Amino acid sequence: MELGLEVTERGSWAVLAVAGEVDVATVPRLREQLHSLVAQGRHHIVVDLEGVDFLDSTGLGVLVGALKRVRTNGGELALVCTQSRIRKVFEVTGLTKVFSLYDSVDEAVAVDHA
Amino acid sequence: VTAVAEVVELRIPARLEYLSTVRRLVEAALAPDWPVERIADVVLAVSEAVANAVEAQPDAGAEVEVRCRFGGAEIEVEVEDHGPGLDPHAVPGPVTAAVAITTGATPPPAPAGAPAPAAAERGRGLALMRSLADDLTVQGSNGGTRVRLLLRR
Repeated sequence: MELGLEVTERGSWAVLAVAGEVDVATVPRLREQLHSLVAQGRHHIVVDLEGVDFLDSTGLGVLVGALKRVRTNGGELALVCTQSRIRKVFEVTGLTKVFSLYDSVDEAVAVDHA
Repeated sequence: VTAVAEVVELRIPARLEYLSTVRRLVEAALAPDWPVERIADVVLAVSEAVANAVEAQPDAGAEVEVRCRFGGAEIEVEVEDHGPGLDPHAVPGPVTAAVAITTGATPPPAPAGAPAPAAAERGRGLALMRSLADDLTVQGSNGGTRVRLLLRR
């Protein structure tokens, strides 16, 4: 199963658009991509989940790990997610309290996280 | 609405590459009748159970058995592996629940609000299954683990 990962720039933000199915089989690529962004000094990251068809608990775990990494560096990781079935995965695990979820990339990058 | 229960039994190699195929199968079974949001719940719960079963068995040649019974209004899925059994420390929730799981007893109902710690990266699979399923039974022994999920439409 292919996982689409595309990085674009939005001002000081790196926007990672994820497409396809994020599960324990495909999640290593997402983890590598996020770690590589942080290693490059990108500590303000938007992960756009609009193209994601499926997200499991290991996908959540990688996003939590990346959030910790950027926050350790004084940064932020914001999520774009409007699909109710993907949002629900964050809701039932209580992670809506941990992540900031936005309706669009525009909205996510407009927020002052300082 | 399906009048007669449909049964699907799968025996798959314990490899993560088969996960998406199991998801497709569950989706196909429910797609004509069930609301898409509830299908998503079933697909996620089953995927978590099969992923756990696969990861419990690192040895080459290991297999996972998946048995699905689709009624019109409910689906029952059993996932069985032959790994060493659940690691109680990997199970979120109070220790008593974890002990019950490893000794083969039916675990008590999910305690209210026992998700993984907010900062943890692993350990949310079972909590997810508990939240999504109407009924969850985990039976473990030295010979493997059997998870039974029941979800109603």
